[in-house]
Amino acid sequence: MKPSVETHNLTVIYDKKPAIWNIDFTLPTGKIIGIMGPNGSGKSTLLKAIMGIIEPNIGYSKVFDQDLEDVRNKVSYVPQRQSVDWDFPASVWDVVAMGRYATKGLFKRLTKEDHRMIEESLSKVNMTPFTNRQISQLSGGQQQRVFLARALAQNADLYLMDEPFVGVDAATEQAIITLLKSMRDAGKTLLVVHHDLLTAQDYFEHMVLLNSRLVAEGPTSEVFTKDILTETYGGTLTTLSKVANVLQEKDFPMRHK
Amino acid sequence: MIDFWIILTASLVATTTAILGCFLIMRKMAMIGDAISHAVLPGIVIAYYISHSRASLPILVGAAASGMVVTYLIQFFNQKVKLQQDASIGISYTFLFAIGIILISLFSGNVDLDQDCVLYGEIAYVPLDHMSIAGHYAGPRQVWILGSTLIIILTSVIIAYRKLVLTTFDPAFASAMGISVVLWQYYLMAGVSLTTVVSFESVGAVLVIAFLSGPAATAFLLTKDFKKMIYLAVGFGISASILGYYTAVWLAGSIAGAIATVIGLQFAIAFIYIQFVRKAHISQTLENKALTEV
Amino acid sequence: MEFLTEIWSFFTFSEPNVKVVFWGSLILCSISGLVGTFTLLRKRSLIGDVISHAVLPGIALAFIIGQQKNPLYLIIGATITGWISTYLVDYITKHSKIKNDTAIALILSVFFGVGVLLLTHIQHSGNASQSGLDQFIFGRASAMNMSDVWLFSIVGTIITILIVIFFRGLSLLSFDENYSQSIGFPNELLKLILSITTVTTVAMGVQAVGVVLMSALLITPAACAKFWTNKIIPMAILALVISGASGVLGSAISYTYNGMPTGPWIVVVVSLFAFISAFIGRKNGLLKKYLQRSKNNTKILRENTIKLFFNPKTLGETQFSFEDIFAKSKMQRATLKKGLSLLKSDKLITTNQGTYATTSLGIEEAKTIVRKHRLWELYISKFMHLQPDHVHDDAEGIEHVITPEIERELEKELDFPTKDPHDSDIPY
Repeated sequence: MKPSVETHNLTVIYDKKPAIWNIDFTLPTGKIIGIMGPNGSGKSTLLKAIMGIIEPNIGYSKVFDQDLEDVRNKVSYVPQRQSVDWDFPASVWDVVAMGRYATKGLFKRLTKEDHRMIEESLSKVNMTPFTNRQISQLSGGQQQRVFLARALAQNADLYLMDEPFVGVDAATEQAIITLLKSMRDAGKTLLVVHHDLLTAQDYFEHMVLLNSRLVAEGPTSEVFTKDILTETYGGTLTTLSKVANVLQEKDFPMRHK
Repeated sequence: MIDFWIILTASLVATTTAILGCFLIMRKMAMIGDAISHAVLPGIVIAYYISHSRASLPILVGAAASGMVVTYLIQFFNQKVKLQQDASIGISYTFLFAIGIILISLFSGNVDLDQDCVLYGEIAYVPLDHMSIAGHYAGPRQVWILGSTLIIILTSVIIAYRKLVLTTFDPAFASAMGISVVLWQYYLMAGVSLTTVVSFESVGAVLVIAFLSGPAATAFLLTKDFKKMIYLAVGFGISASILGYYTAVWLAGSIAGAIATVIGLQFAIAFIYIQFVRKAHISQTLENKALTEV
Repeated sequence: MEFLTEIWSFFTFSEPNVKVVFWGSLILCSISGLVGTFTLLRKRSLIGDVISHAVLPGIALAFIIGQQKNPLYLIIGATITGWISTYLVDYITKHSKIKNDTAIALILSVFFGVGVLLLTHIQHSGNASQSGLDQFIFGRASAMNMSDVWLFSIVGTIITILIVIFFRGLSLLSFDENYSQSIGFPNELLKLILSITTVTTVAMGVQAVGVVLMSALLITPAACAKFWTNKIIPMAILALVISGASGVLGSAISYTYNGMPTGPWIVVVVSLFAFISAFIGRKNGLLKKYLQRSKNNTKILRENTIKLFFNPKTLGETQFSFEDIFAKSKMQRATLKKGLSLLKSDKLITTNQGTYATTSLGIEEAKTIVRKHRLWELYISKFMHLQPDHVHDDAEGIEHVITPEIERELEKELDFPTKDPHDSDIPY
């Protein structure tokens, strides 16, 4: 089977210091995969690097064994809810329709098919009654559902989701995980950044454990162990952070000719 | 007829800036208009001096050159030497503006520009500088220039509307879709710069900022739909031009100053309405609702 | 030459009015440098821009009410509208969905517009002593008189005393507002003091610099100082000195050219200080960065060259011809030559008729860098869970970063290993 996401020595440097360092993994398809790690461990950075939103300084990644550019319409990205200004004057429908823009050129109008997909996506996240609601009048959970509906409208094979469970009510969290499972059953792959250790085991079949470096990657049953969790959450490695500090202070290049 | 041409000039500027302003304020870039409108001055003065005319092309080239210098300076301070963003902008444009004013003083006599007009334009003189086509009176030159600018900006915004909205609302998502956020940012900036430069002569640096931020902000308070926000902003811009003109005539004062004052009043009225009238209304409806639910 | 004599005549106070200009701009600019330090640290530089534009209507109103150019009235009028403008920006940002930058742009341009409307209204109404007013837009230090200077000195002293008394609170507020709140500092009072001193400073300063460029005097001197120090007291003093010096120099230049506005010259001088500081400053200065980078590149070249002499079999002395080494290296010919001469001057290698041989010092150096490389490969293969074929490139970079202290830690953490991930020996 083709791997969904593959990274090779993926390294992103922020302010002369590596935020993620030499991330190397190959992820399976058709699974709900969790990306776990403490705050500031580079989870969002990893997603953004895979998605090409930030250019990695070193290394590369592949999606479905191809360059991202060639399979972009098969990949959907759900940013952190707080990353946008919800005061933007737009309705729920407007936001979900953005999911259909990718395949449209500059002028092409949305077709009946597009409309149908937008409506279907809204109904999948139970937001149909709110179709014409202004987005600033939504609760946190409803905003997250709108973002998911927009992703659904893209009809992708791989979904990268940044903290979809943050700041949502329990009902929404349940609804989202049910939706994710049905998407998985339809053969989609879901890569989800998450930070709640209590629910992680129930939600994910496969996991990536991150602490600016890759600590472990594999089926949940193998990697969700006490030792690995201690290594992930037990603070940064002193030697590694010392090297990072020298890199920053002395402004050293990580690669040179 | 003079009234008409002045109001038309102001309305053309108002329409162009209101459209762009809606994108700028939603991108939290309102102050970029401030920086650009001040920073293009030295280029404009030098272009005046060299070409000895008010021909538009040299001025555009001069302004574009200073625009690039200010962009470079801001980037230099912010990225190369790690100075905070607000200070980088502040240092860069005040420096270029100061150079511009000094050049005006140095070239005084050779350059048909004075210090005050830089800030609040000379819209009252717009009708004097007119064009003729085949010997017939064809209206003020500025109206032609501003009219063409409006058409350029309008077409560009319509063509790129979806991308502009998407990169404004959710740049990360847009970038994930393969839309270049930086490219559309520059596209918008190019539009703002062009508008600022051609509006400079008639309305001056400060009214451009008022036009870019005010009508869009007032419209933003009142609507929940981005397209409506643009229409409303254009409406506010044009009505401020008309009211401002007559206020200026009445008070025998600066037209640009009066338009900016009206823009401020429009915002104040909308703000007070939203803040006090509508909020009171909403809380009352909520109370009624609570009562019926009990 | 004429210019120099003019400048000289300025600094020798040969004309009585020069003294006024000198002290006036010195006091005004120094104070704005001092106050600007806090504005900059609180990341509210653009608020300075709002205030300086917003004092214009106050000046016009003071003029309408006072019917003449009375410096005290003008300062009071300017302070009032300046303060209202900052209050409005904060109020709009806090109480509506309008974002801070929009509020700033809006209030700045509307207040300025109102000021321009009032000023032009006064002028058209033909009031006799209106002539002094439009200087406020670009500043004219030469229009100051002795009573202005006295007023500036008194108000300036009050501002300085306020800042000195509340120095600790203001510093903490500027560095970390939340912490300041949490340890019970009166944040609201401190903010009020800061906004009143800022507004008053701007209200005075516009007489020399003008409203449009006054914000530069709040931002630029403090930014200059930031290139030299991170400590707030030296930063404030440095900003004060740079700003005062720019004020005097700028007004000297504008004084010698008759009819030149003062403000732009002061701003150009202070901007030059900013460029100089950005180039040679101790914090983030370009020169310092350049020197550090070239030092790094020398270190990397030196270590990469000596590594070529490493002989895995004997770990001892090795001899190569230039072509041998060149074939082994991936460097440009010229780069390699430079590397070899570095080694030679450090006595790590000797040359004899075109062959290069390591000295005992060179052998140790070569072993050290190879050891660091292999230790790091082992370390990252273990802790970053990398396959052996993915560790080499990273180690090529990091080997130059590992200090002796970090090297000892690596050895200890890996329990003094003997083999790297490629099963090569780690040389000790």
